[in-house]
Amino acid sequence: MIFIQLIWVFLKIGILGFGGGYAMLSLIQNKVVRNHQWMSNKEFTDLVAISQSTPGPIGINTATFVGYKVIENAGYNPFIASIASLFSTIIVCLPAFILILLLSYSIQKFRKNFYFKNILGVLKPMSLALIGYVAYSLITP
Amino acid sequence: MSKNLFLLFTKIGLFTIGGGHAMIPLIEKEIVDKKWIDSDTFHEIISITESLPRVFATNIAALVGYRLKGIKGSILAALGTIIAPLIIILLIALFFNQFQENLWIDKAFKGLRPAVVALIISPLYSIAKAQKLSFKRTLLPLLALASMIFLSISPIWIILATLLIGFLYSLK
Repeated sequence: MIFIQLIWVFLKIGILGFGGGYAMLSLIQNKVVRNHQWMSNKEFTDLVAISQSTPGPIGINTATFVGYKVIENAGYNPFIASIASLFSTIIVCLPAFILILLLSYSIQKFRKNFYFKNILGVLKPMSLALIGYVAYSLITP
Repeated sequence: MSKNLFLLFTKIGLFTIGGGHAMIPLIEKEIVDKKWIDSDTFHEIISITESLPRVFATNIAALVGYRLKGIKGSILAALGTIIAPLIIILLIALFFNQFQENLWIDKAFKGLRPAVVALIISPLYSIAKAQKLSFKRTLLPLLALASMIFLSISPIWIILATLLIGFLYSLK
């Protein structure tokens, strides 16, 4: 059942999508092109080129586009493909979104927690390295 | 307020080209200048988003939305970031299916890159300044950056190591 497979793939990408949009791209390519062979590599690169040059976060754009294309390639009509792309987009954001809700909910309680304070203390300067790495990976194609 | 929150993040979603990190200065300007959230909290939010799996813009929207308006705010803000790109991509997929490798679009994006990189690097300075980083505390991030670049260590290991270090630090 291609719809369930598609949703499962994007759920996994949403969970494993550390490292931002560009890291997500290679995950999506791996699943969609290599594992499931839902589209050719050329189709995927075209689609990424369009996603990069239209407004919107690259992860969202690619998820929307891939969701549409996969279902269209499977022979369904544009309406069903649009619905599938809507679901792919929401699903890819969902794991992080739920994590954030849990975190925000508990952060008020944890704020004074000793461990949490120390972890955040190390995490804060570390975020600089993670942002720096994103910049670096953009400079080197 | 809820409507403004949704509209603000629609704008942010719409103007994000490439990766979400380039949007940090814009988000900071919009939110901190409006005094919706103070700059300390904003930097805390950035470091939390950095360590989550993500679509960056959506995560930051959810965090800011939650701080301001609870669950309703976080859903509205997150939906705000995806609505415009979703419509644009769907229109392209529906009507311009045949536009193949478009050379000038590719070139335009390459031209945008240096600007995007500059936008990503610029908040590094202001964040570092806001955190009043001592030399000792910049050592770890520099080491992490070097190991990601030269040893191709995945960011996820860096995040896990950070959590561990923070935890061990608490034990002594």
